[in-house]
Amino acid sequence: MRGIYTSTSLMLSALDYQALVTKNMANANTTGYKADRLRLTDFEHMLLDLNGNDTDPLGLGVAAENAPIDLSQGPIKQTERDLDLALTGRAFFLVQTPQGVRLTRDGSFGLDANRQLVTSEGYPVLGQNGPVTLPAGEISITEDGRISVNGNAVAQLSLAVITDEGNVRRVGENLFDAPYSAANPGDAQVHQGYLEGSNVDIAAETSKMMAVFRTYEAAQRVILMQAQTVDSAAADVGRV
Amino acid sequence: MDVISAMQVLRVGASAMAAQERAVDVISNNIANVNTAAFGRSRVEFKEVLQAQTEPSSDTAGVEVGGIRHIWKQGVVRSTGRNLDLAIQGDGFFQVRLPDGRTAYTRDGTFQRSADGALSTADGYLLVPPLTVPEKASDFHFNPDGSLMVRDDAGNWTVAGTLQLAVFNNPEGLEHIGHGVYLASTDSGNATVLAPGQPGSGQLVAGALEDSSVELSQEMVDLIAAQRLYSLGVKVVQTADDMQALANQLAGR
Repeated sequence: MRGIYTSTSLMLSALDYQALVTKNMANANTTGYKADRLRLTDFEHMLLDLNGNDTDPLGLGVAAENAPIDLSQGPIKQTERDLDLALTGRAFFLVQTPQGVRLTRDGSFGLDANRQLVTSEGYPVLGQNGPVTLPAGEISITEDGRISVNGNAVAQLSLAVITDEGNVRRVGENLFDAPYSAANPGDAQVHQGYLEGSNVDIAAETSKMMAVFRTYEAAQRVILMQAQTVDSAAADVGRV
Repeated sequence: MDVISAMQVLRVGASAMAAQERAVDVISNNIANVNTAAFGRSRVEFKEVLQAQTEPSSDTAGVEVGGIRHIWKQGVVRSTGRNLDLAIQGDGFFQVRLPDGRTAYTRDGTFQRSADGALSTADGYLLVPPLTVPEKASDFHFNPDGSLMVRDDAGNWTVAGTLQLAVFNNPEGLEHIGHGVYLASTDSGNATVLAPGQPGSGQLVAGALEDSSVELSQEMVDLIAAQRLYSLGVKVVQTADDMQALANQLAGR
């Protein structure tokens, strides 16, 4: 009977993984999206269990939720729009939301009615002296984040590095909540007229999706088999 | 951890399909307007969505269209030789009067002269401030500063009025009401009216039209990406459905 529970747990874990993979796939075209990482070691563990080695019994829901977010660089795409900013390096833009300062790699910024620099959600983008307001004119932004309008320096974008990469929380709208330091943005470079695409690898996610499905299917077969065994055992006992 | 159900996986796939469908709509509209004078392309901005927006968890529930950004990029100014065609090289907008009296804004300078000589857009919206070419005028043209020059029978040129341009703090925030005509909104801020050639307003080019800023090659690439991601969403939904079916087999035993 224990086998049935192990296999059921495997099915539930596979479902968790599937949810994670599909969330990544759904965001394959989301600017600045950072993929959720599949813990392959855990996944291999699941497969081992499927083969009957239950020396290390599987818990329910293999830590998909706690897997660290993949913060690797996404592809840089040219847009030729002045307020599209892509980052290379490890830094994030800082954004003032009603819930506090959040981090983002989605640099599809714009202006509001008062010419304040805002995200597409309307949250102010932070410079080193707080929110940034730009006068009318030709906007140019250097690789180190200095903004000038018609050649006159206006502001310096605030760029922050996450200080604890294991402690990054998604808050939706392409924003992250994490401990950060804006003191030294390291190797960060701002690219005006570009956006950073999602770092989801569609091909890899698709093959993961298929593998997870097969695992789920196999676990289901095992349950059916085990249930049959129990059935026939019960029938045999009845005959004696 | 929340127990994930196959239904949730299915919803994530459905969110991807819905978002990409919207993207295809926007791209199709861009492509349809590749030859529309002064047309500015739009793009869909995708946002990840969490399962419960009210109590944030680390579970994304897929993707949604966060907004559609209307991008004003200068189109190529192409000479037409027609003296009622006007193009703006810069950030300004023509001001027109809607039938209900409101002032609206457009970049499309394909103007026409109505029976009484008043200048209007192709849809019949009169220019603001009103400009009229008198019936007996033998010739007319616009100067780069916006003044409408009219020649009378005697061959004398006089100024019949001056065209003005509107500029906005955030032109991307203008509200589109169709046919390339826009209204000011709380996002765009109010119009500031300037004469052509003033700093910020842009140069007026008479006898020319601004091309659509749509680049077909870019739209096609975007379209292919959107279609691919749509079919990926279909695949996700199918897989989730297959998983559900497997689970149901257990229950049906």
